Amino acid sequence: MTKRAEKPRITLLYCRQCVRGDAELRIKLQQDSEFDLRAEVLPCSSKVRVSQLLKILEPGVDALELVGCPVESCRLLVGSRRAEQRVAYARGLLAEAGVDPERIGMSRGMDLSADDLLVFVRKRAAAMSERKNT
Amino acid sequence: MIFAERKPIEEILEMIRGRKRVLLVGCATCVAECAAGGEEEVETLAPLLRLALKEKGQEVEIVTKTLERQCEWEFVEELTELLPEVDAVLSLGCGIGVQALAERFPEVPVYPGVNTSTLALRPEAGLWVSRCSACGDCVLDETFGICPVARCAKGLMNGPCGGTREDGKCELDEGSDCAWKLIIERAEARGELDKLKKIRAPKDWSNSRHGGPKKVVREDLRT
Repeated sequence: MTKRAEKPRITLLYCRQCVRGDAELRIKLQQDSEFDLRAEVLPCSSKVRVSQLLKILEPGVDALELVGCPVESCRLLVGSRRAEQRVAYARGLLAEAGVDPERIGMSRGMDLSADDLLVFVRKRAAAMSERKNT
Repeated sequence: MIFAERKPIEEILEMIRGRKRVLLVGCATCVAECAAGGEEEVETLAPLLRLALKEKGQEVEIVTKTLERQCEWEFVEELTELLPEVDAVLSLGCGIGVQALAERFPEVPVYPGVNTSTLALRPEAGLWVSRCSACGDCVLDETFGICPVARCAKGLMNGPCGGTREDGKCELDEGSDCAWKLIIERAEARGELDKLKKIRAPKDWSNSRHGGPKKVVREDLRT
């Protein structure tokens, strides 16, 4: 097993409206940090469906973090609220199936930098390992 | 639409236990409308089952297919090529769909992935309400388009039971309107309250499920 494969595999999906312009580039530059991180930008956090969230986890991704705009700042008005409902539904499905629901989570923010996004990723990883250890 | 809800994951896992390759089949008609068994639900349940099975250390391959309708032979035929490759079918179709698959492919076990419960209307996104019980003797002409069989908890045919709450809700379910209150209000709005004075005879249930398995023949449509 390579060193890279030993790192927690995390997928980060984020709304393009809530980040600074250079965030995607910077995230990619930092993929060789403590995570095996895949970052994907979305036109809106609500564009992701429940089936997609689960399909991302299926091949062995440890956790998925979806980042959207604050409720009151969503440019599609109800986009990030819808995304939050889908994340909650997906977490419920995981729990029902006996899979750690902390593997999927959502954060919000505006004008986010790559470092801000990495904070969310670290929180997701911590929530997951905290649950694993209890 | 025919309304159904997904069975608990644990129940589904128990059904497919010991199987090697399971075909998960959706239906793009009624169960898609009630978000229980359409393509999105199939593509959600498949990875969820794979994750759950992995967690349990079980190896079961899940393949997916969503038919336009599980209750029509011409669409069911689309499964013919896939069936030899699987040792079980998990259907997210309604009870009719499950039986159609089991009848067409009797050599393979077909498991129900949903519970079919009623005929429902979706008045708004994410909300389904029962509107028809398929009783076989429709009285909607006499009840101003509101069904007392499906919507009155007691299925009363001659007015409210007397237990209606002050806010007009059913005494058995505070979330449901008293069906007879709705009927009376609609009759009153049309100025036809008098029509409700008619005493309806005991309902004829012989054309419903209580009358035994139903078979309808239309010679003009047979080939």
